[in-house]
Amino acid sequence: MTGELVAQQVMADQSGLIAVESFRVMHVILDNLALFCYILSTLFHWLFMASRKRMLLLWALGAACVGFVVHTGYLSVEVSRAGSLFISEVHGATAFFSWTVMLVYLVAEALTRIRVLGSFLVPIALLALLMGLALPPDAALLVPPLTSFWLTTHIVLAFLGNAAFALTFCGGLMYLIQDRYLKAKQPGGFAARLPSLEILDRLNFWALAFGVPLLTQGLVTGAIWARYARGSFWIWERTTWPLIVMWGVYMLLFIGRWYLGWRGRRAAVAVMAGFCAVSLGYLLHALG
Amino acid sequence: MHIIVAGLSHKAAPVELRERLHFPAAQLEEPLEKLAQYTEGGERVILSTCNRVELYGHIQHLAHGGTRLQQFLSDYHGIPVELFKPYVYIHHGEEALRHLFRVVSSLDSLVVGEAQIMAQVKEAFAIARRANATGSVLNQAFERAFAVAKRVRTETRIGEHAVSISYAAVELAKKIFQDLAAKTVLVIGAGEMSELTARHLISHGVSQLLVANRTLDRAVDLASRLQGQGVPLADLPTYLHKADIVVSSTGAADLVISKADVQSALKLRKNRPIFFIDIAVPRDIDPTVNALDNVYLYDIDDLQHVVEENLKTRQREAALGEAIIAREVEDLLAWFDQQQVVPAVIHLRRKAETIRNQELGKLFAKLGQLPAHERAAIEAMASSIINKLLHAPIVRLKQESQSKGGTRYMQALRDLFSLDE
Repeated sequence: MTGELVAQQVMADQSGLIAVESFRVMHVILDNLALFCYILSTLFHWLFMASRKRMLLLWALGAACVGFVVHTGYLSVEVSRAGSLFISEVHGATAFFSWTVMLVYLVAEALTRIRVLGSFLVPIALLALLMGLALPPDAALLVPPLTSFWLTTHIVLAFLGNAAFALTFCGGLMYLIQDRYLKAKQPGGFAARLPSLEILDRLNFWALAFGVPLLTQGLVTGAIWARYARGSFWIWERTTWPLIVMWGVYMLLFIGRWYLGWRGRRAAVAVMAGFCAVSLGYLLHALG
Repeated sequence: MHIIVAGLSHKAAPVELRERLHFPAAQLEEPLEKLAQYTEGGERVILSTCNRVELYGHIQHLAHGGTRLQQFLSDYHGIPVELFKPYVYIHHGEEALRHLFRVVSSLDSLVVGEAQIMAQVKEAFAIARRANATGSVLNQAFERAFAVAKRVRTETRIGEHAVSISYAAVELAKKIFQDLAAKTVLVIGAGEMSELTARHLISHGVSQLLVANRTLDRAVDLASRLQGQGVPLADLPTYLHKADIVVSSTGAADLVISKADVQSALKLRKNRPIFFIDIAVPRDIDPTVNALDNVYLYDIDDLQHVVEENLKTRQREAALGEAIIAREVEDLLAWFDQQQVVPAVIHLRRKAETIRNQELGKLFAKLGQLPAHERAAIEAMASSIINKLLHAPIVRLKQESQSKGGTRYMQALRDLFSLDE
């Protein structure tokens, strides 16, 4: 009797192990496939910039779309494995950030048709994925398991907000390059591949205008979660003050844009600095 | 049969000569008709633009072909051959095709990559075709030339980048502003150059135009021509901030726009960018404003420099165009060769058939009445000899026509069997 029970237990454990193992294999494959697609897409985007052959752009876009679909599949596998959208591992966080960057890129590409956008944003998504691989796989974040609705919402919104800021970073970079070439009276060459200053400035503004509310909501949902989980909306500690600082930075940029006519080169520098500051803030917040 | 071209162009021939040899496009039918006598009725096209006069022909005998085309130019225009002979170039066969492809692709143009030449050649060809002066060979050559030119234009950047100062200014404006339609242009000084630039900007969508001049009358005059608004130059600080693009070309000895003017305008504009185009000498706008954020200043030298860079780019792209043309010429020659194989084979068979019939006729006349089956056997044997004898050369010819050496074989066949007689 006991022997039977033990045997059953072993079998159950084994099938569980097999399930875990197959999940692991699947997610390694999907993970690497997404990585591969993003590498291809980055290369094709850069080749397209160099040669401006339309065919290369189509390949770059195709690779980005396939990569995004695979990436989505990978995250779905993650969710069904871990039972929640997010896992408290660095790898999961970077993979999710990479996914939001790709989402923002594909939406922005479809809306603005700025063809060189991918040359800047896809590498960022790729870099995020690679960073996750480079860090030790079990480096845990101080984020507790995402069983709470509020915490999940908090993190999704905050990540989308930061992806929008990644877009402003790229827009700002392109703006600075174009500005520099125009000021130096060399409108040919690399600058010829970049869109006009006006549309880059507009891109920066809209990305900021989307990013700020997302970040704000991320902050609010985080506070609500904190109220439930920890009894208080806000606790001043090491992991929370970077959040307030970066939110302040972006509010300042947004208000400067909206009311004070901060635009052009200085605005481009500001959003780029803002993105760097915020990325650092996230790391401080998440790694504690 | 040979394709030949004789002509003169901007590269060597002086404009006075090109003028005298010019054929007006409106009356091309008549010279085309007359040219027929010089090409023995062969296909012909006359291309005459302000930069070149060229006669394309498809003629039976190459010898004296070029001389005859020059004679036509001389006879038609009443100018002695000696006068223009030193400037004339004559190409035939492969070189003639290459020349045609280069001309249509704008590689042979005064401004490499200019877009007009394609339309001009198309028109010249259409006139010749309507006048029934062309046939299968020149039709094929010209149609192919148009396709090649299109390829060169899309696969290289030969037609990109402005090569005139006013157009370069428009391209720069488009690097700064996405949509020129909602932009305001301020033209300072009612000169010819500023008017030209303003017209370019208007044709690219600019709708709001201010014209400022020291004498208001002239400003109003130019403004009304360009459907803009005339404003007095003295009031510049009150409207400078409205302008997104400023084109300045006054004859003033001093600066017309100072750094302080621009700074206060920027403040009023909430830092929206301003593009200054200073085409005046001496300059109208303080050169240091280029250092201000969101201000872009190009003077006449800067624009000239941009144009030169663009020309260099076009030259580099032209080299890519040459490579495309080299391949296309080869393809077309191979195609022509293949086209000639079928008629040559038919010709050969027909000739053999004729000999067979003649000889059989003679034989049957000599032998008198023969039983039908013997007659049939003799006829069959004659056919069999012809077929076996011709089989190998025909197969070989068809094989060779796929490769570059095809022409040699074809010529040899025609010579050996005297097919052209």
